[in-house]
Amino acid sequence: MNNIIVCIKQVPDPHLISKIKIDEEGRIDRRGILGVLNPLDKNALEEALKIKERFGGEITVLSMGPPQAIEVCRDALAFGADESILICDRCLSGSDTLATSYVLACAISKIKFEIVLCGNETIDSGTGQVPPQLAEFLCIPHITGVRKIEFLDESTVEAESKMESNIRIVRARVPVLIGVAKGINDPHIPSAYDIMNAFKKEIIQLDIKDIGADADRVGSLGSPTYVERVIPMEQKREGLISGDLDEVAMEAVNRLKRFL
Amino acid sequence: MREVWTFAEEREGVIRETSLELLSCGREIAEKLNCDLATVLLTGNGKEYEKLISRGSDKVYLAEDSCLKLYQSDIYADIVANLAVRYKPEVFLFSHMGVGADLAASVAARLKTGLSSHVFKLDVDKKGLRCYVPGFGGNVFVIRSQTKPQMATIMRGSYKKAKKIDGREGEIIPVEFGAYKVVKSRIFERSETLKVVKEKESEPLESSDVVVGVGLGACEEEIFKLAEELATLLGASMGGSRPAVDEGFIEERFLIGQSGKIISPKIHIALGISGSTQYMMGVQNSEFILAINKDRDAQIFKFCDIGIVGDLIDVLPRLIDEICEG
Repeated sequence: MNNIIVCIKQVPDPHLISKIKIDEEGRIDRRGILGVLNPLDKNALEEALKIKERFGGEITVLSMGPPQAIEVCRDALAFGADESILICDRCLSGSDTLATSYVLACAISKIKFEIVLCGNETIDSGTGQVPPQLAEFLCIPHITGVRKIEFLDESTVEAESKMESNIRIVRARVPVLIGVAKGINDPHIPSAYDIMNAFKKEIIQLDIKDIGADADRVGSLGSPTYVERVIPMEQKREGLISGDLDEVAMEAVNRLKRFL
Repeated sequence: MREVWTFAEEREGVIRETSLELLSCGREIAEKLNCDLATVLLTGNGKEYEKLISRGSDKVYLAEDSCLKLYQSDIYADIVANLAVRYKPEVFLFSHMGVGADLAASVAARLKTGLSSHVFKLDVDKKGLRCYVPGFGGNVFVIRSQTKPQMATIMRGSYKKAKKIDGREGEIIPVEFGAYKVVKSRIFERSETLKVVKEKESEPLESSDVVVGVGLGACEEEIFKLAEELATLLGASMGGSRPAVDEGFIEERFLIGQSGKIISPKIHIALGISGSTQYMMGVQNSEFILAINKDRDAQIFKFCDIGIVGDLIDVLPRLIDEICEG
């Protein structure tokens, strides 16, 4: 095993995500909202550790993000990654999934790898499009929604891909991309020692020139999709009742009973 | 004649309901764009394409081979992308289910075109599709794409199943499979779906008249017990939000919302639910929504028929008593 690649993303803290304010142009006010490692990415990292334990190799983590995303690159090192890379460049801003997948592919194609692991989706945009699109740009097969990976040998993988109430059993040869889903494993919690050590390692920072990406295929320039507007969700009901708890409970149950 | 395309999925040899919902959506867009409606179907064998025509497709691009019976990501993406390159549809719609979402993303990458995901409402104007998708903060994002085909994955339940029209006729365009027979083994060497296995059924949420939804605010042992009591009293199924699943109170298969179950019960009771757009997507079709949350400013209070601001530990016992008395 040469390299096990894990792609990660910094996302708003899920506990605070409903409090994020967005202006009319779709610009997000992330002030006061901490950035954290996308939850499923932890599962991806944990899976990478399991593979390394069995077959050796190096875990290389990549993230495309703004300068503060360096924090999750650091988290990945504490998690057990051998190398952590942040792809950061002003012109990457406004990238949709197509542009993001292209950028990640440019960086990854310079590395010799057998497997790429990603969280199946992120908690912010949640499109789930990057894993399949990244695989396409890398010209490798992909399996998404994976709840179990089994390596039959060092170059053959059998995975359980969850699709609604069915499970697809897929066999694939490396190099392959896997989008991991919840329940695939139980990510460990890095110790204080791991975290301290992570600060001693260097995080590699690359810009678009370093990865050899075309300027017109990244950022808003390279993104066919864009947010035109942000509108509040249609409010179809507005039924706040107040008053004494007994009265309120009675009113609520009376209304409920009409439907039972 | 320009075309709007939909992709139809089969499950165990039968066209899925979501593919019929997609036909309604496709028909609406096709009318607005003055286009024909066509559907792409990859199948093991069978006459399911007739169903598509009777429910609105003017044309079915049909690829038929035993190896297509199960979803094979590489071959499917290859066939579908090549069809799109050859026939150049204006719009290409998929259902946002497991296969649809995965395939749409691969095809969009191959075509280097934009894809809007999780669309619950679709409209069209001079610039192209207007895709309404849930965003965070209780907002809706309107997404545009600048390339063709304009692609989108549509959320289940967003459109009603297209109605059958007796005697409707349409064209079948068979997809030449000869070339694939040659490279099939090479493609399957790279990746192959071996089989599909049924999982534990978690239909209870979708088929229940009453559903109790548990959010982060109810993720506490005592409160959760009360929630279960309420559910039992009302004969309700229980589901929860993503945070409730993450906290371990609700199993993943009972997740309600955009990335979980979309439900339309008679009654939905939201306990400690903030009312995020993602969650509301899952329950907005409920006939009656009762919400309890101790945060007066919680989004949920904009989307419920009755909202009670209060601590669940106080409100739930009161509600339970009131129901028992009646």
